[in-house]
Amino acid sequence: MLFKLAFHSLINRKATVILTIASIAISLAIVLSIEHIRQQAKTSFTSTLSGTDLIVGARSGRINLLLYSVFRMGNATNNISWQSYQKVAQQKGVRWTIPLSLGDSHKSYRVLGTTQDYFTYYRYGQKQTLTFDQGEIFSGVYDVVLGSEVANKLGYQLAQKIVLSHGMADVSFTQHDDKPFTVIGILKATGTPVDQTVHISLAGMEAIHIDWQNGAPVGGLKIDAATALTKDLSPKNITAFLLGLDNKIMTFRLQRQINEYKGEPLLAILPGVALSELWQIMGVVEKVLALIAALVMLASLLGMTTMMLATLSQRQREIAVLRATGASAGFIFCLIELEILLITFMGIILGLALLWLLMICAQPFIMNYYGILLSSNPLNSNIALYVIVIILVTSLLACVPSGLAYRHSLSRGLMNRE
Amino acid sequence: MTEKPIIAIKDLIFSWPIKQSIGSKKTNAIKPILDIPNWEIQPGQSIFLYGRSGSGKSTLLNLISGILQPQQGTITINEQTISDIKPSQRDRFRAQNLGIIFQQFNLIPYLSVTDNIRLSQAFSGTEYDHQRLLELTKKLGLSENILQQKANQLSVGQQQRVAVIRALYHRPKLIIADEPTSALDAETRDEFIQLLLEQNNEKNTEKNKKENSSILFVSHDRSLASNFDQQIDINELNKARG
Repeated sequence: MLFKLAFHSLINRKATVILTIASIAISLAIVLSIEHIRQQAKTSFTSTLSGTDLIVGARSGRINLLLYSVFRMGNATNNISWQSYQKVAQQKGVRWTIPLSLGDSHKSYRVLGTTQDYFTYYRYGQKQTLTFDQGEIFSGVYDVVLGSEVANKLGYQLAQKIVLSHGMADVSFTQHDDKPFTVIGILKATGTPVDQTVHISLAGMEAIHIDWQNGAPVGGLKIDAATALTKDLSPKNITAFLLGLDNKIMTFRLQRQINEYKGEPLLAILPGVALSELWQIMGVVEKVLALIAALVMLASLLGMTTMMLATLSQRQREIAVLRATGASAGFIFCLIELEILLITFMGIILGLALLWLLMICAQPFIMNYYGILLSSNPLNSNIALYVIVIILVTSLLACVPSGLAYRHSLSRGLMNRE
Repeated sequence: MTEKPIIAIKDLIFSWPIKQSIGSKKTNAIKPILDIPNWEIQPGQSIFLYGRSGSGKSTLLNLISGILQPQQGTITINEQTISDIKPSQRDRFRAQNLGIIFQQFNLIPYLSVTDNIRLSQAFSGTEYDHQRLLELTKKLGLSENILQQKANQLSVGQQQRVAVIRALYHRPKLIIADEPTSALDAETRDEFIQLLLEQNNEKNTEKNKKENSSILFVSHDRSLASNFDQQIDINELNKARG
């Protein structure tokens, strides 16, 4: 009888009920999508790099090193000499290293000079390796492998010739136009900065700078692409390198050794720690977003409570009839509480459906613009927790109209008070 | 007479608590509205209780139906002193023993006629008797078709008849009617009272008549009084109005 009454009562007021359900659904979808995107962004962010034990660069700040080596943001304060790199790379227990040489760009995408080891050892996400959408790893000096976004946005195909620019200026006056590169491979999307990177070999990096000195072309000295190949293209400097160990236990010892390296000032950082640190900087924004979402949710729940309170006065007669036929005051309390919970429940179901739809629609957009790969299934344990909290808060808020109805049904008579 | 009364009121005093400010102090002043030393109604009787608006009629009905509690005195309905039992038992007692008809809006608008009639049965936990429902529907001149209709689709006259069916359906010991005819026009009103009294008079012999429900009919309209076994002015009962 209780359920039947609650159900028919809601159907009877369908206009208000539908609007209330919609308001709850929308605010829930907002709360959960913010939460979902936040989580996914965090996961995506912290898994930008995986499987790497140490990142080594010239001594500067930890976050700075992380930003330029992994996110291709900002610039290194200094380079590392090839000798120092070799010394560390040849240490016992070092399984692999990936040298990174930065500084040039192509249409504001960063150019990364590296070795073929990059494609073997670089890991992101759940220790996934880089895979090719088309083509293969560079082998020639003037070969280039493009990240998926670079290829998509610029519409590049295999075998296409591209010119790299010196530095990061969008329209650089200093183009390496005498030594064009050929697209030999295009990587699959990873949702990491790799997608926005133009990869060339270290030899290629040397070749384009062979007639340069101190960041500018040397006047009168002009070495064409073919001649450059005959010169010594072994690298002199690199910007940073990634390093993997045979045994993780050695990580801290090697980190200390590198940090105390006498040859030149080096800095080794643990990528996981630095990534979390960097994420924490963005934590304030994250918290503000969560707070706004929570307030939106609370506002819609308060709106529902207000709606229920407003209808109570119209329902005095109805409550009197129920009391007259033998309903207890507790029954009246449960009836109002159940009605509110039913509205919330329907709001939650609709909200989850809306969220799911939103995620499916937003997925390509977010992938395209922000490089975050959203999982389209927003249902996870955290969201279950949110739903439970919402139900608990609603039950508490519902006590206001329910309690009022309970009190009235006890203190006021069935018949009009004279 | 050794007959047990259906309603027995003894030394009843009731007052609404009124919040009053005396100076800066808020106190709950007590202003008695009902003071009934002694009143009994015998089973099977139909009583017409009249009095001006504001004379405490509705409050008395609330007390008899166990919704309100008196500050002093006892109310015994069908040998059960209702102030002695727990609120939940009182609610169940009301569902089993009382049939209540209001002025208007007797029905839950969004429930079907059948569900409205079955409310008391559901709250008292008794078995559903479809035959009884059909029988009463026929007696009150309603078509069976309306049983599935929503209460808000009925005319006021039909709604009042359904209210009578609901009041009679579970064969209560006492039917309380609070100005049930005030929303009806003169013709429908007389017809309604006749129906209410007739349907209740299932047992016609003098001996069996006591098994019928007692009716406590409250109105300010004294022209209806002649239809009932007994007429009582609330001012004669209520010493508070003196």
